[in-house]
Amino acid sequence: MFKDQVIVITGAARGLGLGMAKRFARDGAHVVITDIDQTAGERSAQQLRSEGASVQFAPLDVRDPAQSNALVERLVDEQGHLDIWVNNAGVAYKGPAETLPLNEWDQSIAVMLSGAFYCAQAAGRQMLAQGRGVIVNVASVGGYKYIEGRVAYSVPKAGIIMLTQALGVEWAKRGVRVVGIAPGVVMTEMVQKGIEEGTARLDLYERRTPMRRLGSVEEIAEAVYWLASDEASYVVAETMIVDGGWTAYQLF
Amino acid sequence: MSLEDQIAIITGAGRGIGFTIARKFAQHGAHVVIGELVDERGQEAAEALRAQGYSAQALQLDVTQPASCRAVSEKVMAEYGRIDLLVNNAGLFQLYKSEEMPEESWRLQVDVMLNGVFFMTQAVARTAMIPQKRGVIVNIASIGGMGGWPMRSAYNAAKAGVIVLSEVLATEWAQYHIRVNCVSPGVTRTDMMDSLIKQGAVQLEKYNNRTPLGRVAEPDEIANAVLFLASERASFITGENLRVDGGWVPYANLHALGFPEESSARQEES
Repeated sequence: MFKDQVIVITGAARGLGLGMAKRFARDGAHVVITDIDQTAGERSAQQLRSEGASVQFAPLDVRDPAQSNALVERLVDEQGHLDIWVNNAGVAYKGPAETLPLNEWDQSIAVMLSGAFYCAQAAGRQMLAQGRGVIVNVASVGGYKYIEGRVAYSVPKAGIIMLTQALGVEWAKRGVRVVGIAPGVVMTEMVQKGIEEGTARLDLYERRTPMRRLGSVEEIAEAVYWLASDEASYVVAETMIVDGGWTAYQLF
Repeated sequence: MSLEDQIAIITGAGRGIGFTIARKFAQHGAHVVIGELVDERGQEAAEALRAQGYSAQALQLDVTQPASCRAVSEKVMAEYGRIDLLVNNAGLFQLYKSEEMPEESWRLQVDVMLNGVFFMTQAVARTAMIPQKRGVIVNIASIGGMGGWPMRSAYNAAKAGVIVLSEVLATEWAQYHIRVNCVSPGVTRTDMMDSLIKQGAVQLEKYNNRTPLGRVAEPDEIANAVLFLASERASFITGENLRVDGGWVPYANLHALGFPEESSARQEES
């Protein structure tokens, strides 16, 4: 379905973003992995290429709009078109609101909210010119409901849900679909590490989730893949929750 | 006083949150009409308010019967010539696993809490509020209408219906200067709740812990919200669902207890 389409995923050196890269690559797409971490990004791209995928790495700091604009320009020069952009890059600072270091707040907003907008604007201009394209914003269930100590994470995630509505509504008539996904807790390497180090508790996550398990990276990637596809051609400005029932469950 | 001389009908006001709303309205100068399915309960409640020097009366009312809703509306109109406020509070809940929910329980809960709200509202609007081009309706919904609570499929579905019904009526009747709003209480410490706690059927601790404020609501806190929305202070508020839940709904509750298999014993509250 995505054969030869050009798909950019931010923050895709590892975790959810890398899972999405694999999913689109499997379908014959040309995937552009971007990340601020050049070493990890190159490694992941190399790994996928060795498996036969069409993947390139492009360093990108989403906080700098000049970089996202330059990347879009370069890709269009090289490939002639830009089809899908996934705003996935994120940072996860934890800490009580009253003592949260302000630079952590600023970074969270800069990466997950402003960064998503800068990228959407860069990609969106090209897509509007083409008259087609899809932007997928990765939000979080944390953007809908609050977990203690996640003020820096949840607030920009709530912001991106409205960003999806704003851009989705604004660009719908001009062939650019903007949609979102709100994953619940997913068994990424980062969560795995947290569990091993004792900073995250698997049993709490499992007990809180009606499906009694965490999501897999593949399940989130599949949802993003579907949203980006023409099967979702009438889905606009919507953030789809993929959380095993977490958000719906509201009793104890 | 914010409801001086206002004529207010409150359904299901013989006890619990409804009674607290009735007393609050009366304290603020309203003439209170208690609509109660169980007439004796309504009469006793009205008597209790009159004994405190307030203006109150009770009328037997079955909100599931449009004829009963019309009769109550017409009776109040005949006596006062207008109806200023309506609070749709009557309700009940019955706990069942959804796969075991009897048809009659599903129908009863939806009938009282969704159909009943519509019938009573329609009757009061037709009889009084639309002709007088003025009125305020406050529907008691629930935070249950805003999410999934196991074993409460009928209750939560009916309450969700009330929230949207209120939005619809707010948009439809704004032209008649009728405001329609919801209050969605969180878990509230009513007499009924107290008796369930005493029976051991409800563990207060679980509700307290789930709530960011660390406690359940007092009925008076719910009544305060209803009073505010009913008053002129809320003159630009319509179609709003005001949560009074101590933060329950926005809280993701990471430290969940899991999904207790609650007894399928019927528990009811009016």
